[in-house]
Amino acid sequence: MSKLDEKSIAILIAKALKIESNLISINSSAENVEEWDSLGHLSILQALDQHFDGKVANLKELASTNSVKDILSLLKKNSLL
Amino acid sequence: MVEECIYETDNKSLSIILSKNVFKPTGTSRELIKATVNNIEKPGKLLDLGCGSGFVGLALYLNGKLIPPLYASDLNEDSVNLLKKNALRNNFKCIVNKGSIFDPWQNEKFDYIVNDISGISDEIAPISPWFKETSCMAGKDGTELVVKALEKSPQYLNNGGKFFFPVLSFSNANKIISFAKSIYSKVELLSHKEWIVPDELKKNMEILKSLKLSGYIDYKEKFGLMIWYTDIYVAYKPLNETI
Repeated sequence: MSKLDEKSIAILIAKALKIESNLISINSSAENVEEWDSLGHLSILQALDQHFDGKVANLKELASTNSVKDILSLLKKNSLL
Repeated sequence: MVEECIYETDNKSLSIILSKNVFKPTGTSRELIKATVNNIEKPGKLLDLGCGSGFVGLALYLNGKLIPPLYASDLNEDSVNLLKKNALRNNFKCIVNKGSIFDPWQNEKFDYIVNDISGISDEIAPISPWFKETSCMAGKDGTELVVKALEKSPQYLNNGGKFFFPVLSFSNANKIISFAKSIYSKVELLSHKEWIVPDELKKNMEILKSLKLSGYIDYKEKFGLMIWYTDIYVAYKPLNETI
């Protein structure tokens, strides 16, 4: 498992949402990215879980994240970034 | 106002009119299309079983996976009429019959059968967002109809034919797969897609827990979310096939 930096997380999110990576920034969220609906959110979480070898599956707070900032904050809090 | 559903592929698109009394396409419908498109290499005679509005069958038509006409059937007369309308407005040829499972297709054989008959627990269906105005009738464990279809399917397949079917975790998935393996020597998983349990169902946790405990359905908690899934399978080489 490689340690991801913030830019890599943004790229991972873009890939999960099947959009160009330059469309995701630190300010991106479910409110300003059309593809980030509930299914898109699940795709993001699954992509994170795959990258972190299952380490995020039990992070219940992920359910309520809806922005790149929220996700980064939670990953840092859990020493994954 | 007419409700419409669009399907797009390779710069082509399909417009499907929907109707109140006819099952509306879901994520499972799209997964079934995707998996079937990726698996069928050579177009053939194709039956859309439990066709509803025609979304699945007509999408496969658009993708060039069948030799026209599309054969389709549904127990619901409104579905039969709606598919005919949708086929006409998209200039597709179809033969559509009303009836239960294979009853409308005596003496017919197909290269591909795509089973889209309802397959979730009867206790889940009325509290879900998918069966508000249509019926399910798949039994408490959601297996009755798909098992009947699996059982009869080999006699409606040409040699080398394939039977495509979704298995939802709001049914007894293990029972369906075990049964499929008692009918076919090859049963392959084509795709697995996870979904978030809809809010309408989460309001009825006692029902969900009870059904899960009884083994009739399955779901899991992950990322603080309740997750269920759709698997798409293909079955071929019936065990009783004469060479």
